[in-house]
Amino acid sequence: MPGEKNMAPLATTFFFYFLSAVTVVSGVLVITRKNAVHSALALIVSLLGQAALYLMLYAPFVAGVQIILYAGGIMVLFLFVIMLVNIEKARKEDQFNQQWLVGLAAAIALGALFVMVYVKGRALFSRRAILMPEQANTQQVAVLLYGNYMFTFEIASLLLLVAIIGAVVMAKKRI
Amino acid sequence: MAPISTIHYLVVAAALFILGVIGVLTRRNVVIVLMSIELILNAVNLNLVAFSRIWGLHGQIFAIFVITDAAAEAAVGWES
Repeated sequence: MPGEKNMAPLATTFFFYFLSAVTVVSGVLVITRKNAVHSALALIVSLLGQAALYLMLYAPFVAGVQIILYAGGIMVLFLFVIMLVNIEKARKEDQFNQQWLVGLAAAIALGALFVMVYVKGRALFSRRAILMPEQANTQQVAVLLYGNYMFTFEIASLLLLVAIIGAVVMAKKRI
Repeated sequence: MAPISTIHYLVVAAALFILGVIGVLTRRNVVIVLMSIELILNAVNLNLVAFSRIWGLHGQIFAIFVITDAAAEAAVGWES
């Protein structure tokens, strides 16, 4: 029925604002908490909120990769490192360097840049969304990844190999 | 309320990017500096996926490559 098709889902607006509030507020917590473990937990919440935003953008595969790789893999790595270094010693040190002025200036400059770009490029950004069937998303991503982007994919695997070898070489001074 | 368009997502991504930059500039703890870099990479990813909504799937592919990069960076960054 055409009437049903034109009706925008009401919950979308609420979920967008809710999820972006969760993401941004936990982002603020990441950079303001003194304890690194609290920062890591806030970062996990932020990443999960972002995965939900990907779902709202009809990108279920990227959302799954985000949860598995970021919230599951990278964050475990972060927490391991936090546990391995001495927490008590790290907590006694200064957590902030005295560069609030530089940070504020960078934030204002970047914010002004973003506002300018978004105001100038409004016509570019307000194109209509194309129709993307959610069921076939993974299939289409795979076709692109192993078709158009096959060479890039191979380079990415090479990058991971270099990262593995580099991590081992830097961890053990004498092999 | 206005329907959610691409620009809404771009504003959220810009906020995350600015938060990451502030974190990199003002924190001393190297763990949290790396977390702020992750925030920046995630802001870029959100931009890419938001644009893939109007330009086609290529943005999502690029977002996957950025996630791969972030994994490699996290593995190597800890050792230094």
